[in-house]
Amino acid sequence: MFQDLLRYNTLVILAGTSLLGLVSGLVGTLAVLRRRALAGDALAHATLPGLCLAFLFVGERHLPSLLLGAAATGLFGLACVSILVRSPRVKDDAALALVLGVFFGAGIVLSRWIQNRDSQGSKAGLDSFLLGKTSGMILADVLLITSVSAFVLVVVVLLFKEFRVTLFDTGYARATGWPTAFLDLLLMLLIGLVVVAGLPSVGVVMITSLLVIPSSAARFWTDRFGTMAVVASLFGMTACVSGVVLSTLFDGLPTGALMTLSATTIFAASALFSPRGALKARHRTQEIPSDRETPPEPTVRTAR
Amino acid sequence: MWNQLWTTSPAGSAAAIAFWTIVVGSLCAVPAAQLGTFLVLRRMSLLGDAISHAVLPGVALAFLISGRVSGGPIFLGAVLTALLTAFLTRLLARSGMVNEQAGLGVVFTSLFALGVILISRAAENVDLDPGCVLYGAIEFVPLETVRIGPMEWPRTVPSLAMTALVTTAFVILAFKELTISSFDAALADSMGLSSRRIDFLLLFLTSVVTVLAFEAVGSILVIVLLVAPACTALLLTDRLPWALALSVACGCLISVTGYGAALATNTSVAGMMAVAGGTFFLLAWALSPKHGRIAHSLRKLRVDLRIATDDLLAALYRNEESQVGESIALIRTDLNPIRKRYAIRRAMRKGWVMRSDADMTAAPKLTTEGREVAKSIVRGHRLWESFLHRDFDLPEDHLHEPAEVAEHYLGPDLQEELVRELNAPALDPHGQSIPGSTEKGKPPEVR
Repeated sequence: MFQDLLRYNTLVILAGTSLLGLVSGLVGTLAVLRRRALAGDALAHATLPGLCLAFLFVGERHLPSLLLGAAATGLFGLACVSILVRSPRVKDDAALALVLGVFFGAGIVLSRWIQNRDSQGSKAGLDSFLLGKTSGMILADVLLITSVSAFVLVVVVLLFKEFRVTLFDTGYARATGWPTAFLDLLLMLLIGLVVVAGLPSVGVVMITSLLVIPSSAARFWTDRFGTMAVVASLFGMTACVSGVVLSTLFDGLPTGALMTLSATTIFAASALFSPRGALKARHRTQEIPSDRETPPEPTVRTAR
Repeated sequence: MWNQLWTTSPAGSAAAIAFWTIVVGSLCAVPAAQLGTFLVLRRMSLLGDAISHAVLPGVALAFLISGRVSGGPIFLGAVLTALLTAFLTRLLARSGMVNEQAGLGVVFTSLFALGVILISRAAENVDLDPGCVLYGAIEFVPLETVRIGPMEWPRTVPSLAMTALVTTAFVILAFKELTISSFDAALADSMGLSSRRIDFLLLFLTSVVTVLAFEAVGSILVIVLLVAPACTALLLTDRLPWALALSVACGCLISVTGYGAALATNTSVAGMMAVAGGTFFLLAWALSPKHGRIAHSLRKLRVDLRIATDDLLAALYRNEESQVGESIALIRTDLNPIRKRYAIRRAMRKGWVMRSDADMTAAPKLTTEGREVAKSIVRGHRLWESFLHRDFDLPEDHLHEPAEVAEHYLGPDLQEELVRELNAPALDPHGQSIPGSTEKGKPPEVR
């Protein structure tokens, strides 16, 4: 079994997925705190028309152009969400659901059209688009993930303070002149990069889970943004590595699903046993009266 | 041609296929549009997406137990998992550590992964085509039939029709409860309406509709049918009963136009219906008379133009007051040239200013009527400054800017109220006279 793990292919997959887990945990933290946890899901679905368009124009399965097309419509979808949310009467959840469904529908129409056009069909690519093909990861994928990770890390580290202000108090950030719209778009770009980099290897649903679950789990351990980002990255990495290891152990089980379930296990453990988890929380609420003294006098400011 | 529908089987002729496909689409759309309206209002639009992914383990388990790919057990498994999704999400949201959207994401992706594993265990002997699940098999709907009474029906029609009826009955009977608990759950509870029971029924029906429609038209179209008609309707009207009716109509329209477009292009019916949903929403978003993007921009432009005219008149009035120059460049406003030109044109059309045709560079002159309008604006401005000066802790050089904004919204009534509140001041804090005030006096004291 350990020999299996140390094979070249497995090492490549381990390197790629652990980086992917790390960076999706990091970006997921931003997305979850921005209350756009499912932006990644919408974006991932919105990449389908781009894949089809790229296939139409290039005419063959050429990975870089497919990814470029995917990124283009995916980001266009998220830009639509941003515009819709800013207009009256459309809430963010409705905007995400609309973009997800309509873009995916358009993708299905396009893919059917391609199938009609060339009889050999390109349906096989779609299953791996949905579920991903972790075992098919090659060095080029790892290099792509590495460069995306490096870019994301640099951006997040450089703009750490800016992100913190806009994530926690968008109104305040806007009022004090932070470029909130730009930071929102930048966050979308980061989500888009991670989704597109992860799409070929883990698929639509699993990349969503890697964005949402580790960061939600990290939330149970800390109230600090920086710590949460680090913990989420570590959780994401752990989930991915254990997913790969488990799929080597149980031959034939899909790696992406195992990664997600590993992340779910981490989440469940956090939700139950962490200091803020369900089992401790009851204990904590009983303690509150004892360690709090008389509430502070409300101060009244008299108006002039 | 229509006689054929009742005599031949649903797949017997092209017209029959078209008819039944549209009927099935509409039968999915009718309940989905109604429930979707409430889901959108409750900000639970993503529930359809979550449910249609999360039912996978339920379906897989039911298959492993019953060994059949369709029918009662599968349906039961799917609905139970859908309810489990909603329940777990609620539980996470109540913990306060995970917001609703993230909780939904955690639950449905986990359940989906579980489903993938279960299916891959059983994969050797099952034909589960993910394509079928996602795009749905609405094209094949007329092919599978059951015989009820004298004629053949597509298999999905009776159950869908029943669901549509039950949902409509529920929405009509529980309309009051649904409305109150959607807009104000706390109020519903305090009125003894048990928003929790209503919530459960709403979730239950949504699960049933999602699962049934999912089988008939595919998961992606379910999401669109839940959200797109509802969002379209809510953009078009402010009344909930109308929104529900419009939403249902829009859902049926999606089904018809989507089928037509798919037929014309020979592509996927479910995909085209989704695109049609998006198109209708986009149209409403741009063109809705009240909440549309275009109406919104026009309204903004109109206000903008009115404000520009106000500023022009006020500037001309101040120029007259201090007897400064005649040149148009001296108009003391920060209007940009285009706005200034439009403001002058509008003021001339209204008969508020005149300009000699001989010298276009000369400043326009206020007419008697225009002077009255300008006076009211400047009066509002200075009254507001006095008010700010007395009641807010602002230095004198910070009074002008807020008053420059407020002056456009101070009608005669508000001005009267300010006069009463400030004891009819004659001078503003800068010592300039407030036009239209009758008494002579000092600026108001700082309180």
